[in-house]
Amino acid sequence: MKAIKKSHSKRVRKYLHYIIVFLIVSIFLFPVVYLIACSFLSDRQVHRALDFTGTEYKHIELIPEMFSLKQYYRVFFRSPEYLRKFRNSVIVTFPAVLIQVCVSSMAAFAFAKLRFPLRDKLFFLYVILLLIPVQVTLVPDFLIFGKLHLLGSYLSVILPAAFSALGVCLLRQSIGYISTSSIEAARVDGASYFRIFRSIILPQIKGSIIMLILLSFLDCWNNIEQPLVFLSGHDKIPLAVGLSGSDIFACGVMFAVPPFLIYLYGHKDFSGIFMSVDK
Amino acid sequence: MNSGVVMKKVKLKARTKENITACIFIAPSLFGTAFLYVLPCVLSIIGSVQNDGHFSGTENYTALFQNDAFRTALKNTVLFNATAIPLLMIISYLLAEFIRSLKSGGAFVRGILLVPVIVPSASVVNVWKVFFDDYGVINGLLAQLSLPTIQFFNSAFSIVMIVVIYIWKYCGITTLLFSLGLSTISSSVIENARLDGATRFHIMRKITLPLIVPTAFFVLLMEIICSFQIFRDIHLLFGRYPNEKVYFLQNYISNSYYNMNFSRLSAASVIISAITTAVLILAYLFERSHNFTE
Repeated sequence: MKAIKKSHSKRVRKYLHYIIVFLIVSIFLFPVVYLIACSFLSDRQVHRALDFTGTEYKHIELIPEMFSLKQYYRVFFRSPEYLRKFRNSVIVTFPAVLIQVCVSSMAAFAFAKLRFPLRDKLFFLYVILLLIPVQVTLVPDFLIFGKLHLLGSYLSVILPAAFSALGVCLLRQSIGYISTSSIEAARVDGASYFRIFRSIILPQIKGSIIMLILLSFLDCWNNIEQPLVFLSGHDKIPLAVGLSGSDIFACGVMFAVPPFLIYLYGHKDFSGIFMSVDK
Repeated sequence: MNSGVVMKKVKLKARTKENITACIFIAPSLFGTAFLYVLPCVLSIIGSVQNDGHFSGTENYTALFQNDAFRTALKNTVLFNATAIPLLMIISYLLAEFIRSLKSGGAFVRGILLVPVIVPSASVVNVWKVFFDDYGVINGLLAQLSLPTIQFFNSAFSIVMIVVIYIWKYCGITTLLFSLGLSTISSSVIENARLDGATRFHIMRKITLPLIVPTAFFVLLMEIICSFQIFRDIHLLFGRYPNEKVYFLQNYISNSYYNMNFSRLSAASVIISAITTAVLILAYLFERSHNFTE
């Protein structure tokens, strides 16, 4: 009798779990699904969804009256400004991520495994910088870039993103897990520090590096504050600032594709970091 | 004796070599950081106690606190952080506990939770507009249930909307961090407690919560960093001048920038940094006094 009751409550709990999982998935995924669905809607439906002057309540329309690729067609072939802004986003983001990864992996190695004076104090400085909002440095940066005649150039957005403290803090943590004895052994065998960095450290922190690529890519791809101040009034505005017009759903999907690709690519690698979670 | 001196010399040489290598490795990062972050911060602090190039003491600060726009911005920022940060922490902790209790599919749920982090704000902002508009989807539902509708874009509910978006966006990261923290708590301890007759609530309060404090500190750090970025969503939703319920310190700083009021702006930046630092020091002290893992 008791056993039956127990298995019964177990089953109830199992269904309860399914329901909660379903709720979580729908809450967190629905806006994205809706965005994708809207990008295939017919012009009439999109117009209805984006008409904020009417006095009729909107309905969620997930299924298009007529499956239409018109929005995508216009984004890619009819309105060059979308593609130009997209290109600007790429120009700003890719160098920033590249510099960030190179520079911060090197610095993180030194902070984690080499001894030098003031090491811990310097690292503490990085942690503090991580917590300073971007607005604090915005205006002094504006003055500095003005002096250097960099205002309105892509560099003014690339440089602050490339040297953000995030990379050093993140990578120092994961390099810290690598055993010091393997480094010492390599030293005894006569390997240079650069060789150790390249052949021992880098292969072992691949997961963290991909994570850093994703995070700094997202940060730069979504950057609004700096382009708004440093690039405004120029034709160099990236898509994060200038996503407007009538084809915003299709363009929004296009804008979300690159970070998604990185996420899918790195998914397996950084799940390695979280291996212990699943046991 | 002689060999001892030689050994010492070799060691010393190795030490200097290590120092020099370290310098080479950190030089690019340090140079960029000093130039793009440290120098601007110093300039901000200097600018905040100056007026037209003259030292003016705390004049800018007192002027700020007498400014209505600044006071509104400060109040809203504090209100937002005081609600959104604890709320996100509780929700993501509960989610992490729930994911832990799942027999399978935990990785799947975590993956789904990360989707909002990946999708750029600029992409979903129009979805939010359709949802939260005066005649949007949510109000449509409320009207159907014959409940009063809410003007999300022009009332005290604006801040609720921002909190919802903030939680939706960053829940994935914080849940992931909590999942990591929970995974370090050995399940045998919990199993033993259960055998001794402890209830689920008891286990949570007496075992998991105290052990999760260091993780919670890290989560707090992450949440504060993310809370700065909510400015982006506000800017996309409301433009340069949002209504006064969601007029945050960041908006104030940006607008002072457009008005070219540099000294006031620097003072506001210093205050924003001081508040964050104070919150973190408090949290750090709390973590120290509740850290049972050491």
